[in-house]
Amino acid sequence: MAQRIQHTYLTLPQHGKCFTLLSNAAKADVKRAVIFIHGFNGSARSTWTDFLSLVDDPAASGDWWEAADLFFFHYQWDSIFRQLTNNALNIYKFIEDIFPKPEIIGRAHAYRSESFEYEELVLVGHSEGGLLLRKVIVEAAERDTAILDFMRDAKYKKQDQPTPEGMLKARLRLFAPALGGDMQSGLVGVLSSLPVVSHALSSSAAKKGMDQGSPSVTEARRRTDRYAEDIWFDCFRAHILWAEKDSIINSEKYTEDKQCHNFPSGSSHTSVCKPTLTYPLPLAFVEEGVDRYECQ
Amino acid sequence: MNVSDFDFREAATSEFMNHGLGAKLTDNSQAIMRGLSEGTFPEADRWAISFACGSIIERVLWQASGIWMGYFNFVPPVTGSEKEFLGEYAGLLKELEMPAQFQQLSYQLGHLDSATDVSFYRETLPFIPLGRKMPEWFPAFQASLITYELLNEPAITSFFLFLRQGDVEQFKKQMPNPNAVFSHLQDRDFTAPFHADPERPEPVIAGFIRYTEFLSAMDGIFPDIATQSFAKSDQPVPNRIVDRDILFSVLGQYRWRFPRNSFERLHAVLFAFGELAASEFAKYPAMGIQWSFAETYGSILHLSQKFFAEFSEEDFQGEEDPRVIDERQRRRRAIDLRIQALRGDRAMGASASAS
Repeated sequence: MAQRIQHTYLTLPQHGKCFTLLSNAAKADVKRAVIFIHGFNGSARSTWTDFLSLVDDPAASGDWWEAADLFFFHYQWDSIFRQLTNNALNIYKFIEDIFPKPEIIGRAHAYRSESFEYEELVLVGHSEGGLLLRKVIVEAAERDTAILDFMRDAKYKKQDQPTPEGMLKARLRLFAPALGGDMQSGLVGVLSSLPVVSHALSSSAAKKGMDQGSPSVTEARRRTDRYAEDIWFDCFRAHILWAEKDSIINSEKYTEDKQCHNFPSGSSHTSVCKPTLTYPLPLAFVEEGVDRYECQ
Repeated sequence: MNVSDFDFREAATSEFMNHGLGAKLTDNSQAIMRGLSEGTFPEADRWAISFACGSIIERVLWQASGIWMGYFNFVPPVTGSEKEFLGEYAGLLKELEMPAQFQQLSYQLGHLDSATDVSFYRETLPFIPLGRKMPEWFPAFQASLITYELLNEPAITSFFLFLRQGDVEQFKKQMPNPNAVFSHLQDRDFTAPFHADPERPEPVIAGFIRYTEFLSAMDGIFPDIATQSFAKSDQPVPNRIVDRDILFSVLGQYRWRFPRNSFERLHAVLFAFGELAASEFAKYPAMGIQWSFAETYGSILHLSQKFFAEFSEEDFQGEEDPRVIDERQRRRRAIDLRIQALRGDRAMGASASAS
């Protein structure tokens, strides 16, 4: 099998434990940024293994990844539903620093020239990371005057759809996103989301304790649904892959979201987003979303 | 698609040494060396020394394996001050039962003139001879470098420190405070574990929680894959599986953290963790959590053995499944064949250059 163009690991010292894998492809061939946001008690390093190497394995992933730079965001893990707004704003700035122009890799301009810009943006979230991305997109929409004008005028007159700009060009790929309610925070939340515990929880656990009325949760849903009703941007219509045995979150999508119709066999809340040599689906899901044949 | 003209090897080496895993191992050893010179670890100085030496030697071994496969450029193994430190304490590593390879390397790095020169790798570290650079190994090696950074989190060090010096009886008498465990999970100072009260269980359990996360992450890179189907169809085990096996077998430089004969201590922490988790889940009856501790226990022991420890048969009190033995033998044969082929590449390269 032909050797795949690979990625080079660079830390992002200005952003703590965040890091990037830059494609070794020629600059002109690099088309897209893929940004990963982990969930509660996750981390940039532990949540997404083994995306880290399988993006370079031709037997596990498509050529699509050769043209992609990968960015892994890390935030304070004890935050759930307490620092949601702060974290969403930090992620907003992180994305803004990457797309379309990857200012974030400033010292590494040997890899991407001053004039370089990505054409595409894919945002990938797991669990709380999914909810955070929904808030980020709502924030971006609220800052976009073209959208504000369109929404205001839509009530009174027929008009052309606005053109997506900046991070509103994103496609969203969410693994078991926490869209349907708050899970427990604190130590009990840490314990139940540990991979070695999560797979040993029964499928009914945890969900009953969720607070589905939290403003953080309901507002992100209400506003996204509102935008999705009028505006045909992909960023308001996430593609979702749920786990088969999820004891942590409620599997409730937003109105216009598209969900994979098949659960990956044996997957748990923490394992559903982790590709391995024998479970490459997460790679294909990020690339193709629910259009992937395994999801049909 | 074309390959960029930037020199990724230079970038990879610089990242490792200045920002990534190599930098973290250096920073940790320097923080301890500073603390030792200031006399700040009166109760734990021997263990602090072992962690400082272990961190330096581990970094040298990462450098060596990266250079071996062609992922890193050559860099000198240690600095002058590291050489001096290793030379001073090489004898102590034997006393503290550090792995034999680490004892030997501490002595060599501490005393050989070549320790600060790239010739050290060639003279001292025998690797399987490869006929070429191994770019197909780079992604998994790089993923390992990224993931092994987790081992340098402050909290996890408390757990490894307990495995070395912990008093099991004392540990069992203490009831861990959940809030304190939660707080220790957020420790940011690497030397904090060396200052902690050795009688308190909270930092140890917090470290254990981080340890399980590390195990799960590593299991993603080196998953258990049954190759029985290949044997049945008479197909060779694919290189992408065999190559990871080879990498896994040469990347043992992090195991020094987990001392031999620490099964009893691991067991004590595992059960304390189990009790803490059960009592936390019981506080939230509305969550309706049903948890199988036995499943978690089995999973942690399996992963601990896979990535760190060589437990004895008495530890497990059972015989190995013949299918497991069969699988191991098949993998071993596949590794031997692959290495033979790589050596063949080397011989072919040599004859081509001779002609």
